[in-house]
Amino acid sequence: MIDQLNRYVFRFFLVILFQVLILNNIQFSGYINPYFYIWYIMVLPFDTPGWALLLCAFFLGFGVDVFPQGISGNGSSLGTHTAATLLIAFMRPTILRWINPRDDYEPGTFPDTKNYGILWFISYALIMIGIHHFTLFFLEDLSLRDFLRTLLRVFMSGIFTLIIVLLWEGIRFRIPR
Amino acid sequence: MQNLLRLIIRFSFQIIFVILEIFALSMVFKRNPLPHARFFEITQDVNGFFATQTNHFARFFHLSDENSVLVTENARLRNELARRPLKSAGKDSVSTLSQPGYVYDYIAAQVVNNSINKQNNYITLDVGYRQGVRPDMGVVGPEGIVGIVRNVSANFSTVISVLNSKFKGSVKLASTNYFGTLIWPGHSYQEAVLTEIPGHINVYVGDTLITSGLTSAFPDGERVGFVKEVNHTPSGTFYELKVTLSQDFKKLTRVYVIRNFNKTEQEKLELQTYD
Repeated sequence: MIDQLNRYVFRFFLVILFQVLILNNIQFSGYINPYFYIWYIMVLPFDTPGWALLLCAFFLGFGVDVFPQGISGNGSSLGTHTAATLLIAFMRPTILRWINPRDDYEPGTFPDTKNYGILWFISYALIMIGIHHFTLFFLEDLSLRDFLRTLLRVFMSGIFTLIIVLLWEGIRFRIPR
Repeated sequence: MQNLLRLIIRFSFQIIFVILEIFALSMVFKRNPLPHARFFEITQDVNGFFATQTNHFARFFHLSDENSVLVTENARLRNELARRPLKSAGKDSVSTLSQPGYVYDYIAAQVVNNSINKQNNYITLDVGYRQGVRPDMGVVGPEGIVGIVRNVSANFSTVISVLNSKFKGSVKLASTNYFGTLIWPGHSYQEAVLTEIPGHINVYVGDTLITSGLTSAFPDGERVGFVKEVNHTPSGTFYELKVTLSQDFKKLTRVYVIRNFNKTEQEKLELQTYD
């Protein structure tokens, strides 16, 4: 139990550092900035209590918000990542209920590719990433000045986030069949 | 009472979410600038530290590029110095005593954080109020204007980049001295738009654009860019010029913060007039 808790704490900091030190510094083109860190919220155990889920999301988003890119370099106001991550954490139980496999989730498993296969995970990840990126980019560009361009950013960044999340899952489980 | 308690426990997930989300959104929409600025000052120093560390490392790989830019800039400055007449000549001793004899000076700074791909881009510099930087000062790079200082902490400052929808600069055509407002439409880091140039004058592709000197942030004649495309507004009264920015924001490393010694005096007088 303590062991598992330690692993999640370690993973928490790892994900934030990976996001702010590496991903935020990669500028593929004007539209693309992947936000891999929400993977942490996606693969938390099924039986995570609600309050823990929300607190994790809050500190995760806040961590990404506060780090170097979060304040000035990001061009977003403080709190955008926090708000977007909180929202997907709040919606996670509902989303999991929507897309549950035919024989339901087995107790003691995790929502990842190893347990429920890559296709299930892609649909799960797409919904989570979609909601997160949509909220994030629209909060960033509050005025809705250029709806289509923001939508394009949501789309492009979302695809990249998905690719990185899947790659990471692949590395974790050496591509399960 | 017991019912209320039961209700709270039952909806604790929703309640916690709403509380935290309100907190997060209030950060996003915060309009009260003072505590916000205070918070910035604290976090900015922490951020600045991290950014400086990564930057030290990254800078190493750009040394040769940076050198060539600095050499060309040096050459340009020498030329300018040679051509410039002695300003203080003809002034009597009283006025030279009370004033430093020059209006602007430049504080050299290092860019420790920069973005170009957001809709509102900001830059962090490694100089703050200890080095004499104050909000609203102009920032220029070796090749052209860069932005305007926004927040200042002890050793760092953040700059509203030209590549920011909040940026507005007073810019004129070098050939005719007609001035307009420079804004950034947000499409490309190399392109901006100059508005409010009256439609009856002649503007050609390739015309040089410089700062007008009408705001206290930039002196007259700092380089801005070149006219790339000449368009009219729908009514035809004004031009809407596409501008190629002369500063390449992708390789921004060394910049200069412009200190205007007459700024306070000028603004005070203007304020009195407008009241």
